[in-house]
Order: sequence, then C-alpha cells, then structure tokens
Amino acid sequence: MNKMGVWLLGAVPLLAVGPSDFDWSKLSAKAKETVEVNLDQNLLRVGGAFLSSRDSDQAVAKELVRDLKNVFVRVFEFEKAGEYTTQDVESIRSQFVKTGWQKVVDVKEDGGRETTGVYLQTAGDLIKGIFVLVAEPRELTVVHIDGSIRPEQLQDLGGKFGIPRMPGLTPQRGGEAKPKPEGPAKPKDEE
Amino acid sequence: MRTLTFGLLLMAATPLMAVDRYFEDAVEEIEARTGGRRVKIPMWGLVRWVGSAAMRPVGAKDFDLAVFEDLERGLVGRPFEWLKLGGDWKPVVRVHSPGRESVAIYVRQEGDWYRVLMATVERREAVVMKFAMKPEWVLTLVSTLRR
Repeated sequence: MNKMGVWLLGAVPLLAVGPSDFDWSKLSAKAKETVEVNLDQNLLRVGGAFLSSRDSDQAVAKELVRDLKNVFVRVFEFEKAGEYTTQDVESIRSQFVKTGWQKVVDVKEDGGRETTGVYLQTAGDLIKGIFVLVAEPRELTVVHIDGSIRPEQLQDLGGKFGIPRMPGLTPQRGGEAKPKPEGPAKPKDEE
Repeated sequence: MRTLTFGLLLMAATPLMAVDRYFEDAVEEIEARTGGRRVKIPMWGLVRWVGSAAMRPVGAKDFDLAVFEDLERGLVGRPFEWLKLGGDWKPVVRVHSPGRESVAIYVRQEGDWYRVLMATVERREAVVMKFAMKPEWVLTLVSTLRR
C-alpha cells in the first residue's frame, strides 16, 4: 500500500466522526429521559423553501432554517444531580469543538452549578456553525447547528425544533459577542 | 399456465408489498414488546378514506392509526431500540423515558412527499400513526416541539 493510501485510511475516522457518531449510550443509559432531534439538510432545504412567509410561525422557521445544513439536539434529564461527570461533559465538548471554534458565551449561574457555553465556528464574518452545551445538575443539553446563522437568531431558535429555551444565550443582542474565560461545567455533586 | 403466470405475478409484486410493511411491522413490534392488543376502531376504514381523499388535514394523506390499550408492560431496555426502521428512514425526533414513555417520529422522503411514522408508547397505552405530508409541514410539525 502506498503512502497516500495509508494517509487516506488514517483520515477516514476523522472525516467520519460527527455528532451522530458520538456514543451517547452511556449518558442515555443513566438518564431518566433522553430527547433527540435530528434535522438534515434535505429536510431543512426542501421544507424551508416551501414554508409560508405569510404564516407567522412558518415565516420565523423559514428565516431560521434558510441556510442551515443540520440541526442536532440531545437533552438528557437525570433523576438526581451528579449522574454525569465533568469527563462526560469534556468528552462531548472535545468531540464538537475543534480547531477554529471560538467560545463566545460562558454563563455561570447558581454558583457555577449551571453553565452555558456557546461556541462559534466562523469563516471571516460568516458563522458556519454553533455549538451550545448547557450543563445543569440534573440536565445536560447539547445543540449543534451546522450552517449559517446569526447569533441573535439563537434566541428565536430556543423553544423550537426541540431546542430548549436557554436564558442568557444571547446577552450581546445588538452588540458584539465577547469571548469569556472558559471554565469546565461542574455538576452539583462534584463540587 | 395460468397458475404459473399468477405465481410469477405474485412473485413480482412481493417486493412492492414488502416496501409498505413498515407500519404493520411497527404495530407487531409494539404488540410483542408490550403485550398490548390493537383496539378496533369502528368505521375506521371509512374515516381513513374520507380523511385521505377529502379532508387531508394539514395536507396529510395516506394515513393510518393503531391504538393499543392495557399494555402489560412499558418499554424498557436501551432507548430507541424498540422501533427499528431500515432503509431510508431517518429519526427526526425521539424521546425516551425508560418504562414511562417513548415517542419516535421517523421520516422517509418519497419524491415531493415525506412519509412519516409516529409512535408513542406509554405505560398502559400506545399509538402508532403513519401519514405522508409535504416537507414544509414536517418541518412545521418539528418546529412546534417545545420543551
């Protein structure tokens, strides 16, 4: 086998890994409720094109999905705090947040027990992807949006497509998103 | 010769018939896993025909419904293993609470339409629905999901 073949074989796992390839079974096995939403480009593109601009609900959805390629949501609700670890959170984060992603929102509430991280993948002025990770003592929410979207539209997405409303997601509405120092999410029982 | 011709026609038609078995497969799977029995809905054939041919609620067509009552057990085990659809079916929404409630919405594109299979299994009852609708309605349906 020549060098190119070896290089290609080595690259295949990297190319193939995506949100749906991540092994969520460990978390879902412990969760009292698991929610999945998967919208692919085909459904978003074809469906979005035919949404009505006159119907208010459809018009909002139409605007939101216009340039999206994939919407991926996972929500895990646990019976009690501490059923997932910082390692679980970190493995999810490292799976999604690769080189080129920038953390733009880092909200810590309830003494750091609830954290919200928003990451953007940008190309120039264009946002190419958004990753949201919300870690609460009894709930873990992962939202990955592949495609062009404006940060202020995140607030409009909350409550739709199974994406939870996440207060504090867009505090910079109308202003510039300022990166904040990173801090690992800590479930209640690990503090 | 007639028998042979009929046999060949049947053989040729078998793959086509198998394509549309997904709804019946889901019904049988739920019966097997939960011990529930499908409830007979009076005049359901007529209701289906009127609904599909004349009313087409939210543009949906070709719908069918199976209702189960008195389930002996809820769904347990690994999430989402209870409903397996092969081929081009894609899970759009799935919610699973072990032993309590499971909801799944699968879609399959067929030209300009999306075929939808929606199943809800609770502790004591379950519902499976199939219908075909335009993609914008599928998207609208999913966009209304709130938490």
